[in-house]
Amino acid sequence: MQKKNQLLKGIDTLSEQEKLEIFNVQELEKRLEMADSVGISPTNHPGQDIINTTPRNTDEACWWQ
Amino acid sequence: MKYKLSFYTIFSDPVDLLKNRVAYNTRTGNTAIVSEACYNFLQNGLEEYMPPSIREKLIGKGILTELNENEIETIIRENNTDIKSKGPDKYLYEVIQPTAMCQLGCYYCGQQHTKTNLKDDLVDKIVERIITKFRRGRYKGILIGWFGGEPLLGLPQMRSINKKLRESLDGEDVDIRGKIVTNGLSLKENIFLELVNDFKINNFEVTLDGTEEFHDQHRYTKSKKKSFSLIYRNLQQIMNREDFLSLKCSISIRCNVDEKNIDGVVPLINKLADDGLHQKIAYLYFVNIYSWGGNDANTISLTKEQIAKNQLEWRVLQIKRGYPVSINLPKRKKQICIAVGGDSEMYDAYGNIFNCTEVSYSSVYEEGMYKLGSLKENHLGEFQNKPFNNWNKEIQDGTQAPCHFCRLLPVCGGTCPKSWKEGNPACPPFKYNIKKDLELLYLFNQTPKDKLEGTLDSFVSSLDVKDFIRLT
Repeated sequence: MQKKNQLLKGIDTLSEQEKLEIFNVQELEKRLEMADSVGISPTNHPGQDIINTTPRNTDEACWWQ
Repeated sequence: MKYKLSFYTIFSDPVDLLKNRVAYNTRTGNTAIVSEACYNFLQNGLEEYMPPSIREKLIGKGILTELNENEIETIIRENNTDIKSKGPDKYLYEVIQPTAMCQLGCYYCGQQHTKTNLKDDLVDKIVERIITKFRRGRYKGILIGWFGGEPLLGLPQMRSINKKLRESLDGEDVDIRGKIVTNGLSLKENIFLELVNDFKINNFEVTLDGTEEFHDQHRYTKSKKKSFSLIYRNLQQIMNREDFLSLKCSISIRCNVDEKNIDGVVPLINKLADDGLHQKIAYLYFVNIYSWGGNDANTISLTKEQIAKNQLEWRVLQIKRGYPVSINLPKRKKQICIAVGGDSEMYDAYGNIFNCTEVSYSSVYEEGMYKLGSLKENHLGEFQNKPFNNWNKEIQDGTQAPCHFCRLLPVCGGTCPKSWKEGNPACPPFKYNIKKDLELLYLFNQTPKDKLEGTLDSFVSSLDVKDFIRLT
């Protein structure tokens, strides 16, 4: 509660513009210089490679598995 | 309407001097850069004090969600809907092992290989079963995952299945395509072209466990002969074809890693780049070796923390070497594998039917629950009570406790139910490096191109294994 009160202190005195600056939320722009990977999620265990939907396209590539 | 911070939102540590953070919601896959104040208000349930336009942005990204929403219930419902879905927008996915043989004798493989290929009568039964399921589910098409052993040692059987499937559906405008997991030894140019043109295979998966000296210590033939140079030559000939890119197929390189070959990873990344193959392969990815079929192959594996750190370092090197690495975050995964439901099955060369691709050709699983049945006994039979069909329910109920409470559930789904049941936590490396991944994503996207290399070097040199702790 103390933390909340501390955070809220003075908030009411801020203008809308100041609030927008303080609570800023920005887009994480995607770098365009790099090409996306192609293909489907990599795995050499086909059971984990569920492709029972429309075959994935290049936009759905991911490297993390 | 009242809102709350979605449980499935992950924040990086501060990424700049202003203490901004990257927020990532695993339900929606959306990201945002949020200020320190925004982060503090969200963490303390004070979102209602934020400007409406900011709240709207966060709601749009799923970072804020309705106060009364039971998020895990929604996730599991979405998963179940996806698993059960059939119909004209969907493909029937089936996995076929045309042979139980492989030329290689990799020490970490959990399969016991024999010179057994599918007999003609089993070929016919597989085709009939797939066609029956295809018609029953009114699917749009059929996707075949060719698996082994080494599937190309069963090429005559593959040809027969492919031909019969296509003949059976001739004139019906059915799309039949596939992917293949092959060791690459038999992947000659002419075979490759046959697979692309006749089988409509557009995804190839080949394993290289490092450069030659490392790979050959891992992946040798059953008579202990080397395999790297032949596989690599095959890959070069295929990928150096003038028409390779126009064939629109992806070749992924998997690299299984443990203490024996870890020093061969960086040289492999560099070799592929030096030879100009790095722009042509779809993925080069690294997997920690694990126990397969109780073979304890994981005894010299890296820890989850180590592999998480290494994966990040190797990814940065790939970026620096000009690989087409996409800094995408994990995406929503509604069906983690064929075991958790749906029509998909796997057929081995003995005619056994499974719903898990890790259990065939392994004496450990021979008589266990994983074998659903046999094509020889009832090739059109349907199976009730398949193992792991309750997986999502177990997660929702909390029986599968770690996943029930995990913020990565929407993009992980538990990874491998069998592994959990065997007492091996299946958490993927991103459970350990997701916060650093968010930082890397930020740096990659926000840094001017001319300063990127230096920034990435600083990022890597600042990494400490202590940074790679299990996300809670």
